[in-house]
Amino acid sequence: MDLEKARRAVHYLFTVVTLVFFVSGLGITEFRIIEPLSGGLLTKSLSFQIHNMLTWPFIVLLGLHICLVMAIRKGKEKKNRH
Amino acid sequence: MKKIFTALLIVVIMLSAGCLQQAPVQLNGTEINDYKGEKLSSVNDFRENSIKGPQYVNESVYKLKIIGLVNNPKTYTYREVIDNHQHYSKVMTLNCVEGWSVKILWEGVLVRDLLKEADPKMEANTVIFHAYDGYSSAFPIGYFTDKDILMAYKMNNVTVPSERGFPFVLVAEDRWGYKWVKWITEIELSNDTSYEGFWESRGYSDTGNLNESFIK
Repeated sequence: MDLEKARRAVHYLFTVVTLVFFVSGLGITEFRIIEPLSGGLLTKSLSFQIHNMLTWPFIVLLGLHICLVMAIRKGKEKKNRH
Repeated sequence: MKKIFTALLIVVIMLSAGCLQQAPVQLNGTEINDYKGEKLSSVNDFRENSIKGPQYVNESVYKLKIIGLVNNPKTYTYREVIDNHQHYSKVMTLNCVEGWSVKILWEGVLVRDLLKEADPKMEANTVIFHAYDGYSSAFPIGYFTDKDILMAYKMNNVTVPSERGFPFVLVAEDRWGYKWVKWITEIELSNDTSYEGFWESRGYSDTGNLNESFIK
């Protein structure tokens, strides 16, 4: 897999994880709104579990996302110089 | 430029969602901010996260009931609880499962004193606190006989405001914040050790011990 494909895959995964991380965070602090909005599916305790579970994936994906973008940018700069 | 703007927007939304300022609570007096050299949090440092929002209990019709497995069921008015029992103060920290905490000087009466007057039956082993909004939480009776647990009517030297649990809030020391029942209306003695309160029936720990995870 080339870097560009990897970057795209990480980007999509990171977007999904960020959104779920954000919504589960709201499920903790704003449970009176989120629980009825989700039809009772996203309860406060479930939100806690999802939010805690996603902390490390979020950090790792953020790091990967930054590294891949920088690597691709450096690669392009090198190509342009030659 | 567009990407930076989007990233900034996301950060602002995330921060604002978690840290929205709530309206300051109207206090009946001036709260103190330190006690014997110990720095205290403010009444306004709490996050409002009760199940149905703040409850406004009318003092003139309020009754505190002690019922269930007792030989002498009791009903007190707000003034009877305060005027007919010894008062105690202590600085205690409430640790919320959401990650915030507040250190407050609490003033109240001992739950043990109230239980003694109701004279629990031999088989009573569980104390269930019921609140005005339908909230409840249970404790083993030993928690109140072994420790000096307060039911507070004052915090930081001001009357507990409605937003924080007027008329009475349980100062459940060494327990997570969801065990600190607000707007207490009923104390029920029971022999049902498997009773689950509001959050306990939704996956939270029954004991609510601070040194354990709050998720079952």
